[in-house]
Amino acid sequence: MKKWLSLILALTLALSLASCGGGNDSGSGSADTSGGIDSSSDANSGEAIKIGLYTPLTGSSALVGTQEQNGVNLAVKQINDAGGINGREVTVIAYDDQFSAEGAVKVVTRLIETDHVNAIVGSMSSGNIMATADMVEEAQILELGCGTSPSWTNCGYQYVFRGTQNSASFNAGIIELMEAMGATRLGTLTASTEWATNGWAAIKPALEDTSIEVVMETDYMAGDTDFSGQVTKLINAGLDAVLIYGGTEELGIICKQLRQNGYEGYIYGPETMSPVEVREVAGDAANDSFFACGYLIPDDIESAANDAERAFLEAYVAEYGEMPISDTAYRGYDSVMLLAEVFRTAKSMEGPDMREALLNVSYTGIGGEFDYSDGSGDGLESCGLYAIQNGKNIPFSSYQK
Amino acid sequence: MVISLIIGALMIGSVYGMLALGYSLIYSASGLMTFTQGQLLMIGAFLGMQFYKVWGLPFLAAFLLTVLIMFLFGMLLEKCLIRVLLNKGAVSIYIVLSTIGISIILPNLAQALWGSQTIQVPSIFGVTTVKILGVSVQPESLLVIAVGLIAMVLLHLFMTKSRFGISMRAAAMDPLAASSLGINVSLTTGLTWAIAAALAGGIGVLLGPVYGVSTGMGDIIGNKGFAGAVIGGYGNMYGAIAGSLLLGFVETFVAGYITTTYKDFVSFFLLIIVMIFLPRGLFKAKVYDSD
Repeated sequence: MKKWLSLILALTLALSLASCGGGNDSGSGSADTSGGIDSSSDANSGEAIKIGLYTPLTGSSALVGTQEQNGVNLAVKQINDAGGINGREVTVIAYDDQFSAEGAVKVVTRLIETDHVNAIVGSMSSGNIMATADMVEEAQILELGCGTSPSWTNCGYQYVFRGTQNSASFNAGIIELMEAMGATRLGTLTASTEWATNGWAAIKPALEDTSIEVVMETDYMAGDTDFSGQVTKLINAGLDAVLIYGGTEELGIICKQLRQNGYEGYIYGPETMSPVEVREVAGDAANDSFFACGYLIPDDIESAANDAERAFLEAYVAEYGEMPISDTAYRGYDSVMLLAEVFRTAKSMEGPDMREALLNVSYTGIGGEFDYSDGSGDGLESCGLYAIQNGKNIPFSSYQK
Repeated sequence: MVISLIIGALMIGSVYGMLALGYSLIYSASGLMTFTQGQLLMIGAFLGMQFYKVWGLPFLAAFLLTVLIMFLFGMLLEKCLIRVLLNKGAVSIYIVLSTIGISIILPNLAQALWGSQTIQVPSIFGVTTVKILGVSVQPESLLVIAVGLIAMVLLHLFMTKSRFGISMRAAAMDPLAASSLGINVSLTTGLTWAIAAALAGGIGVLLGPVYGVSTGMGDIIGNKGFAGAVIGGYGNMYGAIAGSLLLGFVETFVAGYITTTYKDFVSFFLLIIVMIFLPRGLFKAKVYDSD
């Protein structure tokens, strides 16, 4: 019996560890082993430059996390194919943060203490970035986080920067969309996550200066699948606008449940509404929804917004055989390219020198021109307004009532 | 609003009820607890998606095929894991641990086979909404309620009217006496695991077009199905249904009228209250429970 039990328990443990905390190293073609990276990361040694990545790679947010990882790996591949940084190869050490603060703390500790990475590309989860920010600050490791919550920039961090847009600009965009569509009675359905609650908390006071009345506020636990109570409540409140502030995984289901229970008004959402997954899960129920975001993935390469995006999409399709599904791929890519500029221009690979280099960096990425010179931690300001019509994401200016 | 809430509550209550039936059946037949029902629902949803969406089978065929496969899987689970552990004299906590292990393995298996994204399943019906007493309802929700009710009635008839069902109840009440009367106790126990898996898998197929299919879809539902079984009276088939419907009604009406933030708090508080004041659940009466 003991043998059986041992076997089962060992198998269980192994699988859970593999799914929850497993790291994988990729990017350079010369794979590192997942643990025990050598600790002599001397800046001038000519050894590979190590970029750490932590983001959700399993679980409900695995889609966006793995897309970020794809963007990171693609950028690293391009850098290495072009000869590396000053002749040095770049490698990525990636870990799954399980979309949880404790998972993030665990793997960031490993990146800093064991892997001795030179810089970090942070999670798409702002909560996880906040949970590990103090560790990164203490270790003076330059981090470019891929979350969009306003809560972790403009707050004094010296080494934690954002490799994408701050969603504060998206929140302003959502209000602009509501006003343009003539919204008067608004109901909300907000996920109980740090990013979502802060997002709604930022929008709500700004609505006081508009003619939009907040009639009803509801929320849900991230990971929920049944929203009948909330949906019924919202529908019976006589709304002409519903704002769903939540993750991509739930947005499609909520749109579907709203429409199938008879809601006919407009739906508004944050940047998580842009991935194709929302339209796939919701089907026609996603039509007449509006969102604001920094990057919008076009349906095909030809529809790319600019040359940088077109080049990225061509490379992405060549590498992975399909278009990116989430804009986190863009965020990961831009973050690594930014770091590459920092590696090239920094006086040394020490944290303070790399920080100085980032503050003076000159890089135009897919999202536009990055400028970190004000030291706030934010470097990119751009926000596009979009609508979903006939199952497609289109610029808001093209939307036809 | 009340009608919408009632339909929503019946729908989610039926889902919990199908899982709770599995928990209770297994407990009543063998005195064992399982924690795999939510994950079996998820596997059923993926199988249904594979048959219906990927291979293009008619939905009814996909549903029946999935139920059959899940039935066999449940039987296999009992024969290859639970029975082996029992034959070696493992105490019940090891059985519980092994089912927890299975509940971790199954999502990983699903992730390896189908990936980690939520997969959309096309609507079963041509229309997206139907009107019931003036309110719009998802037709799939009505299907879930109907299938749940039919499954419950069929299970009741099977357990009380069929020879095999009576044998199962006998084996659950007194395995030794049943065995001496020629009843194959091992087979009847295996059947309860098979029926539990078929119930979970079947409801999983129906949920696919409503929620989409993802590896984590059974986690919260599985816990609430367990709570429904406990509230009703763990091991009591009718209690499982009543407890699950009550849980469905409480959480839906709490979300609709009181608080959406704390709907799960209220639901699980109800569970704790029942455990303290009604440790044998709402259905104290013995139906065919083994205690």
